[in-house]
Amino acid sequence: MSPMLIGLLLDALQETLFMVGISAALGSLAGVPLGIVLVVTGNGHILENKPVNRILGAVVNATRSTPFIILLIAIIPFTRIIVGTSIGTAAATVPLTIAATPFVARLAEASLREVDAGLIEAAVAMGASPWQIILKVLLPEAWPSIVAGLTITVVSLIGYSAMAGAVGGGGLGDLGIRYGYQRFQPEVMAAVVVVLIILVQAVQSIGDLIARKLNKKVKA
Amino acid sequence: MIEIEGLEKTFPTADSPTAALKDVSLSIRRGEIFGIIGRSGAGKSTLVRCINLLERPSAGRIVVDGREISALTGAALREARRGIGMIFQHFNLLSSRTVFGNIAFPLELAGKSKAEIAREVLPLLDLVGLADKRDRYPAELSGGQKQRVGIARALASKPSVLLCDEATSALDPETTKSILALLQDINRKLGLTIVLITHEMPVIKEICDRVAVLDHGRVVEQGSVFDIFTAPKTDITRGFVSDVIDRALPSGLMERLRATPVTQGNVVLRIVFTGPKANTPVIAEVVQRYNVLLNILQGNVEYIQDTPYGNIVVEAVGSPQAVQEAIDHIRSNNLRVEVLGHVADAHRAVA
Repeated sequence: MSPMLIGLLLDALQETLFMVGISAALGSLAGVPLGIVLVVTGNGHILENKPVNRILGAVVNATRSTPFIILLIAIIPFTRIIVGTSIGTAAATVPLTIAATPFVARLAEASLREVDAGLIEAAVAMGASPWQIILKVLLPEAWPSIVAGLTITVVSLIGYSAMAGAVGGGGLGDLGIRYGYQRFQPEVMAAVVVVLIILVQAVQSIGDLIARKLNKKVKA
Repeated sequence: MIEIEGLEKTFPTADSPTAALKDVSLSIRRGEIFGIIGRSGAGKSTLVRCINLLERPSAGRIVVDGREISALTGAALREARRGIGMIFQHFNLLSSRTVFGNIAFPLELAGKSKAEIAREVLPLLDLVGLADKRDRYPAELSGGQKQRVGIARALASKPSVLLCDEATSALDPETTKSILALLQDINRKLGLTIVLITHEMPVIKEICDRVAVLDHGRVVEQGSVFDIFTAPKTDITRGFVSDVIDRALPSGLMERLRATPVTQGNVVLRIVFTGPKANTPVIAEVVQRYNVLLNILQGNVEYIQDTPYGNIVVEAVGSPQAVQEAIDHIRSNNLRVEVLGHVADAHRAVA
């Protein structure tokens, strides 16, 4: 492998990590609370509120059903407002974050729903406020499962970030398309795929390890 | 301690509202262990959950320790709930917290400092016998140990009432006994009022002072455990009692038993001893004074709330007149005698 190719790969990897890192972090910060709201406002839950639940659910579904490549282009004006430009790696983090948020929200919602209703009831019986139930019962109990969901999110974002090349976002996917496909250099394409496989493998392993460490439901 | 007046609970369903509780009134005294027994679906779980308002009653009043719980909402209700501990059939422990963390949970909710929490949790660990398990997670504990954590957690906020929702139903008989012994110990040591829901009559017999029998959302019978056991008034209660005290006659005897006197036959009697009378030597007196021989066919003595309750079935061998005198004598001693029927005398038949 030529030193130039290694240099290209490292730069692209860095861009991918930047895009995925930022959007995963922001997407989680927005998505997990959104997932909490979706759960606690649900039917029979501690802060049942049908209108809020329906509206949020509809917004989440709408975002989730928009193909990422369309979302990427459709929100270009919004991206310009946020980062000042619609081209480049930083610009690509905006649609990635917007795609990640409802994704995380639905996964977190599923995890939080898994928390045994008996635990919530016990906390209510002990005089816990809704806020205390969220912070001291729902989140700690669902954490291992939420972490597993965040791992899935990161892996999906690695895939999405490949499309960010469409807005000049750079990254591994962009490198593979430009050199491997457009310049007929299949070895670049192959190298990109290998790096992506290793990256996804690493993310999945780390995520599994953290989830396992957090999970106290199985005997140590 | 707990006054329940005219409690009604109706659940809305698709076709028609279902009444889970109908006009339930109970008065539970301070420091007693009060049992509520019923078959599944009788409404007992709904009833106990109304006491801390996990279920809001459709009508009626609930007063706990002088405070009308059923009138409270929001922060005042949360505050009142801290005075009512609860344990559950499936323990409901937080899997992400250690034993210590679970017991500390209600104290954290009440905003206590770390030092205060440590000071209060450690004696509770000793009380329930889990001092060596403080850093274990629930998944590492047995069912009985989990329920002990549940009990310690319920006691942490120093409640005046402990509600037990089928607390031993998921445990094996031996563990059930040890958990019941712990509850009784706590009741005596701390003077805690305990309300216990169960479908198992042995649990009631083991530790309760008084009991209410719930059927289809109504209290059909209530009273001291001894009275309910020795003189059940309804079929449902008799059914529960027979889980503990089997009064069915052996099948061989049932086949020989006739409703009308048999020539050359004997009378079969059931004699029930309750309370202090169980210790009087009435049988010996009858044999000596009336020349009636008593052949014991079946018998047992149960101790309910430390009071003996004896139940024997005898074949009385003697002249009809002597047997009648013997029956009158036993009755005059305030024991219950029931004529079950007549049998041919096995010995005379052979002779």
